[in-house]
Amino acid sequence: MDHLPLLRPHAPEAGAIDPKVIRQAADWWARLREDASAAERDRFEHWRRADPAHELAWQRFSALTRDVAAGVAQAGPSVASRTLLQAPLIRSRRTAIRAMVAAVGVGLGAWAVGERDAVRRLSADLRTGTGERRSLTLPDGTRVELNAGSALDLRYTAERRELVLLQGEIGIVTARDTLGRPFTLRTRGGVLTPVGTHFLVRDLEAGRMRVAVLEGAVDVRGLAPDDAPRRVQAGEQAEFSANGAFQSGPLAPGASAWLQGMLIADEMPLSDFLDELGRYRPGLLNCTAEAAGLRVVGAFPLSDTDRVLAMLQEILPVRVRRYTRYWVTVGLA
Amino acid sequence: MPSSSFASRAEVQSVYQAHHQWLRGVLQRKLGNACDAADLAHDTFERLIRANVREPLLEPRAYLRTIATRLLIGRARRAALEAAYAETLALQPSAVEPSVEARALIIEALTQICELLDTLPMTSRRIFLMAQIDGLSYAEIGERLGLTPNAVQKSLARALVHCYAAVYG
Repeated sequence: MDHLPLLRPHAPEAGAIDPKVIRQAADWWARLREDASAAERDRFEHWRRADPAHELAWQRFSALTRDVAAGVAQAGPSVASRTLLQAPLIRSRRTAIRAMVAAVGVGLGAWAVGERDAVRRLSADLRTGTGERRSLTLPDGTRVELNAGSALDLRYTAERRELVLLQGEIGIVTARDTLGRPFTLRTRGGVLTPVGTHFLVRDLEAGRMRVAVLEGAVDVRGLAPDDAPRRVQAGEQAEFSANGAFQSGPLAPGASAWLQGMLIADEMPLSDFLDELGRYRPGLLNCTAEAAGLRVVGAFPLSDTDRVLAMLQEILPVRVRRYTRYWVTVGLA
Repeated sequence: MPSSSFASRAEVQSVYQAHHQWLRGVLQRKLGNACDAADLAHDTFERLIRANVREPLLEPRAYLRTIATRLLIGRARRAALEAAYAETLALQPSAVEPSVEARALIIEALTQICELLDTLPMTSRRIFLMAQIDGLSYAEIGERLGLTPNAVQKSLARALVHCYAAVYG
């Protein structure tokens, strides 16, 4: 089971805070909970404004207590606190298991490098797992659709509206902001400024990004400060990357099909098709080298990937082999 | 299509081939049950797949064992919380039985809060729960625990620092 992003760090990119400041913020938190005299509030406001670290620490405590409140909301506070009071029992059992596993020896050796990035994605503001799609409306009215396996951070401030695509694919319909704040989408490959629009952005990995514009236009700017923006119009798509590469062309048919829960293939190589389909089902999905070049044509429902695999056997000379729940290989029949 | 995703799959595939049997063996010896071991081994590889590893693992067995251990601890914690939750529900005068799905979400949320409070001394934990969840005043909490309101406030502040450390490391 995957973890809900319940207790995740607030503004992790801001880094660590001096423990002394953390203690001060906690003291203020505990004090202001009850004593709200005007003089006390003034002193607190003074402390809070004295240093950006104070403000950040305060924000983090606000987020933390909010997350805890949100976490117990569904159970109901009294049920939650009673259940959690039983926790010492859990601890002792847990310790027993820990001891048991320690007997085998748990090596916390050097892990693969991808880990740090993975942690960043796991702590994103909005996240979807394999096969999960999600749509929501932001406070300014902007609509966001997250495709499977995507992660997005929201950074709305008094001056600007900024989204950060950390992984995967999103669709955005921007809304006019009553506060007149500019809207940008930051990606690994560049910064996008939409002009009244509906557009899709996908992280193709390896530093490459793709934007597809359905309505309006989008300006794409590289990450270097002197990069000139390039405009992508409705009906066009463009691939770009952080090293300044930029290539545009007509919108691929089916680029926005996932918004309707479909995968559309037009002479798509089987290996690419399975890569796409793999975004919507857990585990490994691949094909043998002999089958990789077969071409797939059709429209397929993303909600039932098992059915899609069955369909493949009907339209192509292939056989689907399931080694385990998470292990499927498509080979020539 | 992303070539790195293919590389990642190839990596997982080779780790699977080289270490799956071994992991099942280790887990079976620990759990004394082939079914649970196979299940846990599956979940471990699923985690590995989701981790989207880009480069060869330097110590695949240590990595797999650590994932498996975490899963095991998480399961034990969840199971105990589930039992505590069922018990609490049974004691509620007008208990409305939540759906299976709602229950899973509740247990997941409570598990995370439980992790947050892990290693916190019992009194601090009670103060935290009474203040943050039950919404009691310091005077009310102090009365129940035989402490002054001031002591309760200080203890709550320390508990908050503890929680901060749990989230921000």
